[in-house]
Amino acid sequence: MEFEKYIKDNLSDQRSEIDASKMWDNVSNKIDFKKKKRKGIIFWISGLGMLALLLVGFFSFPLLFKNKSIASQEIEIKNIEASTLLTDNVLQKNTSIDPIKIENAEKKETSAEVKTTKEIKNKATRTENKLTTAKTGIIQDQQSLLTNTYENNSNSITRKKELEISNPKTNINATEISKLFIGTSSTPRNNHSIDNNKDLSTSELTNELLENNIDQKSFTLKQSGISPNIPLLLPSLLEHTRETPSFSIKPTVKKSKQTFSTNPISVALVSAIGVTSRTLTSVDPMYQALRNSTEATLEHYNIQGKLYYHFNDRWAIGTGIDFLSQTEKIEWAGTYQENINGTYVDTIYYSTNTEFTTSNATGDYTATYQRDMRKYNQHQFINIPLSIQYHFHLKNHQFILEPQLLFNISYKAKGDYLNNFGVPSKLEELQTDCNIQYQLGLVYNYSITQNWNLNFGSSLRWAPQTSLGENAVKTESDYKFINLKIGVSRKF
Amino acid sequence: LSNPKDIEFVKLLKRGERGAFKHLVLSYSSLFFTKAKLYSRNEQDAEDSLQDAYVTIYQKIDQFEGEELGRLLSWCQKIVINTCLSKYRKHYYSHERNELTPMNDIEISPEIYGQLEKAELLKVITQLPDGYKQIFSLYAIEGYSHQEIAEQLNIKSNTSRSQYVRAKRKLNELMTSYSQTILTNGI
Repeated sequence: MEFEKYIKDNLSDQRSEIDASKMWDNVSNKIDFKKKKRKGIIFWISGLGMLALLLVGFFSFPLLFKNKSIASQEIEIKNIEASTLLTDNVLQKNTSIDPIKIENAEKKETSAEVKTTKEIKNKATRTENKLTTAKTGIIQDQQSLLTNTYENNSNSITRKKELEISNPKTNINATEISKLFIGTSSTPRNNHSIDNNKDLSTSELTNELLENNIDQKSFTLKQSGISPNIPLLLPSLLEHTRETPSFSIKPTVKKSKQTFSTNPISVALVSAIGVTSRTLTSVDPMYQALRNSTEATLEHYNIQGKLYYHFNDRWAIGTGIDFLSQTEKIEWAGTYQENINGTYVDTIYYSTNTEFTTSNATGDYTATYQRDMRKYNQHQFINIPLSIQYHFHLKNHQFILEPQLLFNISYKAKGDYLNNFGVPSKLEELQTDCNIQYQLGLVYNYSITQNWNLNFGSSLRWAPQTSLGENAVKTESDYKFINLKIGVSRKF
Repeated sequence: LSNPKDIEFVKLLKRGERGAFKHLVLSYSSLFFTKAKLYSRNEQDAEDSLQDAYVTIYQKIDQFEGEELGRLLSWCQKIVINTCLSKYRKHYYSHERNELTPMNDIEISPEIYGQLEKAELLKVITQLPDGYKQIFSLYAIEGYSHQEIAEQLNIKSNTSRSQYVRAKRKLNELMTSYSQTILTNGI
């Protein structure tokens, strides 16, 4: 063992003459020094993209709240109008036809009518003020609201007239009823005949509403003074007239909530399961000769969490995090023969039982390899996706087309492969690059509620991969993932 | 303790800096070339393998864990050796590593190898048949066990052991012959 020690001590750091400058020239021509930093650049680009999206999202939230406050303002206005009508209803119900009070009521009729008129006018003025304030931001919605309200009132009045005319219990025509109820009131009675096609301003519309309310109020008060055979007709008329406007509020409010500008941000969580196919596009011939393996890619699963910014109802961009895990089955089995041109032992001459000499020869010979191994390998990718969404409709069904670029930030593999000595080695030793993956997805978008959506569809992903094994054995392959996916998304 | 300059050099190298890599090539090629010659068929193959090894080193440098220059050089040497063996196997695969009848180990006299300079000793070793040279170098110089050599070369450990003994015997012959040649020439 002294010999081994002597050799190790003296030769382990022994140097030999070589032209190092020439070596550097050759090596520097083979290496692309810029490529090393490219992965870092991709990482930073994707990071900056994500940051930009977060910033857009951050600055969009105040707009979100502003829109919400406008919506709530509209609701408040509707509530005021509704309360006006409800107050009238309550007033109507509490008004009993007490004979004792009839006379007083008649006396106070004019003053009460005027007082009521004033109250309603005040309410209407407040309503108009509210409407004027809100008009700065949502004139269009306000007009549609008022038009709806007006139309309902107008319709109810028309219906009232129809009932008045067609009621079999009385022969009094509409004009007579009108005269009976008008009494001494100075309020004009021809306001029912509002032309629906008339182009009214907000103020004019408010006045029309006011006039209707005045008319209804005077109608209620007047009934206390009518003869006994006539009131039988009136409660139904009053009830009908009062209830109708109350349902004119909701549709308008709902419509304003659906306005797209209030929902620029959404989040989505998608999970997918599918199959993978792998194609070796380029391979080191030595590796190809030695491995003699069959590969079958099995299932993969994929989870994505993403944040989207919607530019309008068609286009959106998104980013987040993507995890993909793939199982791959590799089998090395059977015997494989390879014809090689090289040096081999030609003869072995034994001079004694133990002493021998060999003579080598160079030429073609056949080498035989035998393997019997089956492995299930795991490949896991973590990517940052950058995607564009295009929303489109087909027969009232909404679909989303979503191309994506996925920047790989982490790759892990567990399992075995055959190195170029034909020896099973660990996949962890492979240096694998799968910098960018490409995906195209198509999903059907189903609305569960106003904010929650269910997505289901399919996607196809292409992942070119380069692996550099021990001793610089290089393989290039394409992974193609196809999957079915389901996810939920929520708009804020 | 590691030299701070060495630590900085390793850091720059791991960062993929061109200047650091140039320093590595210019300063340590002579060291790596010695290794390459031991595991290659000839000097030309050794040079080619060393070039390939540098490319691999550059591509894998971020996988190297550590900051000591000694460890880095050791890691680089392993890549050089693997690259040479790979190249050798690719072009000159031989059946000469078949398991042979076990032979008794021999002890080489210090009088024989003591007469040789380091460079001369290296020259004699490189004259060994390729298979012998590789197994002898892996065992005696790199310090691998026969089991490790067997795994590396995809042979049985007994094959490695018996070939090593044969390599020593052959080396003994060569050194004796070399010494005699020197003496003869000297006379």
